[in-house]
Amino acid sequence: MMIEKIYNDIIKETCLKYVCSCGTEVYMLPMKGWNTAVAQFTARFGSQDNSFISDGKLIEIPDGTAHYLEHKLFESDEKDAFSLFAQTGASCNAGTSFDYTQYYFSCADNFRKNLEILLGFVSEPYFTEENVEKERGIIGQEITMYRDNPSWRVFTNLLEGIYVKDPVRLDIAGTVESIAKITPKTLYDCYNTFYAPSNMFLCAAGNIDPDEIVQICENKLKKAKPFKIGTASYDEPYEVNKKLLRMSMPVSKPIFEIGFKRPAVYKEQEISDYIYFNILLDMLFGNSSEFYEQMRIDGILNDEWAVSVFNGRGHFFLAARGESEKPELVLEKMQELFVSYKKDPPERELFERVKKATYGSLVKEFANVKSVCTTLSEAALSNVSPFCAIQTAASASYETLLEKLYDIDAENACISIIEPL
Amino acid sequence: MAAYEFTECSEQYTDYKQLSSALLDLYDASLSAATSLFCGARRTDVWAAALDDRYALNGEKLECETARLLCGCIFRPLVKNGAFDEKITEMLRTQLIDNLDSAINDKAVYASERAAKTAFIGEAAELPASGLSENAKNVTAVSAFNAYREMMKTAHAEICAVGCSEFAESEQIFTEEFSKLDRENIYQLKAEPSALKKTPAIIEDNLEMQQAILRMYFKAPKMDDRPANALFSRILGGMTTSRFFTNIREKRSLCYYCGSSANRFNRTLVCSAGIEPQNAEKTREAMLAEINDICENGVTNDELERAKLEILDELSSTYDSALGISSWYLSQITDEKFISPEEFAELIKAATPDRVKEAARKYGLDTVYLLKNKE
Repeated sequence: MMIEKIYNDIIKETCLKYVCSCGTEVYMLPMKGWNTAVAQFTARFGSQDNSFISDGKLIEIPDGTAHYLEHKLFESDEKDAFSLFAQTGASCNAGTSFDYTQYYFSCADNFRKNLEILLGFVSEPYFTEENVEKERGIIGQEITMYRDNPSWRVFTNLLEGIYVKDPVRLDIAGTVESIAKITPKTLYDCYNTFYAPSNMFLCAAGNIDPDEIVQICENKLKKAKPFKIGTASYDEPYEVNKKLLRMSMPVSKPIFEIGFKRPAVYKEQEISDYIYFNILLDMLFGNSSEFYEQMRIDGILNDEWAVSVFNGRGHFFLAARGESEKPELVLEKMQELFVSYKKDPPERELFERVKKATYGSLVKEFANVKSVCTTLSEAALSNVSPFCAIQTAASASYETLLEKLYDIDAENACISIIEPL
Repeated sequence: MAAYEFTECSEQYTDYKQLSSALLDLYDASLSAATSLFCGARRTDVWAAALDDRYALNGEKLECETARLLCGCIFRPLVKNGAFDEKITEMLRTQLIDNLDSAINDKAVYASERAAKTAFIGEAAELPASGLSENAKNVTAVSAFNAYREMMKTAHAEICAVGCSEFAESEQIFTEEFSKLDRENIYQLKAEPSALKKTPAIIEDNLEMQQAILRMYFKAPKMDDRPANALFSRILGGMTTSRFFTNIREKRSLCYYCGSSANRFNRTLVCSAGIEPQNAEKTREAMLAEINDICENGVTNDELERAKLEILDELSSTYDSALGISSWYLSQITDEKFISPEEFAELIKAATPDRVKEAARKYGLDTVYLLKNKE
């Protein structure tokens, strides 16, 4: 049994990595003195995976298939997964994102039993005409619920505005029309492709025994030959798809979301860009910035304002969201500020302050079992060390930050606005 | 407005930018405040969180500095001529109004606020925790400061500190601050049950939306069995093998979500579901049928065991979260004595199917609220 130790000197924590004989990677971080344990089992299959190649042929998948599969995987021909977890008291759930689907549980007792249930139900699909049909109504209502949510709509409209071809522009749950095309065969085909052991990973943190986890994984996970999943290739243009999208819904005040599109980056580069651009956004537009102070005084922004980086497989953009009667003015001011800071960069002292805060916020993630497990999963998804982000933040340099600032194309932006009816 | 003033500035940090910069210097320490309803009173929570000192890169004393910053914001706000700063208050008032008006952006929050007007008519809970937009418009720098002074003088106050520290220095800082205040006529908190209507109120509301939201309020003014009540709510609609989830969502596909939650302070049970408008009546009947079935036939041993296991697992997890520990103890400030999660676990283990059935029978239907599309 070869377990690799990944140690971080800054927070004095060790993550253990094991690769199962079936190809599934396992990341574990035991936390002494904690009662709970969390495990997350992830397939690199999300809503953006809307096609694959089988026997040299391109198979297109209806939008929303990854999410539909997530719902159906909980069923079996005997007891469903919820009933099995109910016998242990664990809390379990699942979620589908753009580039992954994740199944997880948290518990204070019975970790071994819970892990066996988790690996068992995800490894044993059971799709029938009847149970697939039954889910259509439930998912249809979930889709409707999200369509009534202005915060979600302003975000999904932004994705549509930024991306021309990248399937991240499609809604995670699909549409009522697209899910009508999903059959048991669709689900089995996708499962057999994307849920291959080598396309999955398990993360666990908290009150866990690594040797026990390795043993359970080797017993429960089926052997399979690693293979490379073929998917359709597309060239996402550099420019945004649209500069502006508007929609009307019942909201009290216009809400908006802005995205500055950037080329996708991968592995350590993705984490580095994520950290540096977060620091930059906080410096220029965060809570302690002159920009935000002035915009609040002028009554243009309120406390709904937030900036962040949105990244994942194939996508990367700088985001800002808020409420304002003048959303387009906010974009204009941000663009002006990018230009002026390129001429007259922010001070090093401000960088040091925000860098320290970024480091602090990443350390705080290690004060909670669930967030530790999520940190492990996010790192596995990006194919980097679990401590890559914290290491990058602790060693960030002002000079590199300026390089990132000079590289921003402030005009390559889109704004999505939802106005009151 | 106090919650807004506390996190905006202080005598030491005279604007939001300065205060935010100070928090960044403390390794992204957080400072938050929120207003909620608790036992018929408005409750303002102010909390700060910081890294443990051992993670500071340059040996900074983060806990003490954060405690000082928090106390500065609470005890020494920015005051000019016997009032809060006028310009700042004006800006915060607009923010408060924006936040109150934005309830419409989240349909579940909107439905909850609208339903509460009827479900809790005549009680504090009929209004949103932060009040009404039309009243917020009248707040001035003087009125907000007077309300703040009144709160500091008479409010029931609790301090909770959680983390890997003895908090000796923080305790000293808070003790000194409180010793400078003139405190009198301290408000006495008491958990009062909400009154059950003689005839249930049936309300329908309309909004431009695709999905409909159903909320049903049940009240049990004479509820006196906390463990059985918690188990009843869990079995009915509080877990993934609940009656609602299994029979209404999974078997009948009537909704995406369908749940219940009990409030032990006002002794109310709220059942809610997101549904297709045409399924409203069917869902309402299905929810009532599940409650009636428990009232008449009780719960199975299997259901009870599953609910107990879930609650016991959650109780064991309390100590793994600072928020979990503080919430656990702060929720007991009106109880006769504090009990630990382990003690409550013993009470849960002792509950029987008959006690759960009896708890269910104590509830009466009070309000049915439906929010749906304009026709």
